Amino acid sequence: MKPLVGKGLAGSPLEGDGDGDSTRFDDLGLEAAADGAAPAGSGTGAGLGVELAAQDPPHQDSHSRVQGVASGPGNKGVDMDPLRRRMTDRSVAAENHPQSPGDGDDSDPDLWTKLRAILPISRHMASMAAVYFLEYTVNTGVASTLGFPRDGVSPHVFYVRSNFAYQIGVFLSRTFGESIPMPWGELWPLPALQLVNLGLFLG
Amino acid sequence: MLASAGAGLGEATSLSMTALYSDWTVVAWSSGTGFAGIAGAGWYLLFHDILKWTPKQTLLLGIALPVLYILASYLMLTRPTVNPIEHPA
Repeated sequence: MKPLVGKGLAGSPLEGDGDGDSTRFDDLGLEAAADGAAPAGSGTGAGLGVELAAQDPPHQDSHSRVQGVASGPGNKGVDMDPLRRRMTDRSVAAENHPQSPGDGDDSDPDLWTKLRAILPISRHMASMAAVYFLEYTVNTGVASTLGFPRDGVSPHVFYVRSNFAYQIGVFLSRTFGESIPMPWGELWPLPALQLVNLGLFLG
Repeated sequence: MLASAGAGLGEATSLSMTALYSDWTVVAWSSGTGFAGIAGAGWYLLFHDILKWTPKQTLLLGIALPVLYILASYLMLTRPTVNPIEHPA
């Protein structure tokens, strides 16, 4: 049995770019896409992803790959390179794969290898954790103590409608993706915004 | 409890699998987690508050929704592009 998830980890952006054997999974992927191994563009959501992958010209490293994606349709030419480059530069891919290519490549990376892969993305994980911590602080700690308006709609109607409005905001923020540039190519402004949000609720 | 176990396993697996598709896949996944909130809140708003169903009727109707997972998996999902190997049965 071939570990699909294991190969997914190895083929992730953490794998780094450019040098030698660390690009072998990217190469595999490009070959597969170029050969039309996947049925592209059946008009479905998943088909869209494959179509986009197939439209990308064959690139040699993940740097040009990022540019190809960033200039894709609907992305307004946003350049996410600073963030991506930082992510790949700190890659520990070389140390992660001491074995030579073709020697046990299909095996699942061991636990230590997976833990090492956390290091280069830990700063982004910290931003993510901060955003969630602040959001749940607002939701459960602050918003729930505000209670319901005395006049106007009933508490039930207020709860259902405010929850719906909140979910609209969640949907919008989770849909932005890379369509707006991160200031200075950093993620920490996002938890900072969430901190402002918490301040607004406390005020 | 079963729903939570299924959601946890499915999320970890499908999120790992996004590495085998295009870079847009993870954005699509993220957007979907957001739309699920709107759909859930809108579900209750529509059936309970507007159509005046009971809460029990509203929730029971939702049992039909997991069928969508099966349809999405077998009709919409394509093979991973990275892997030339046959998907293990």
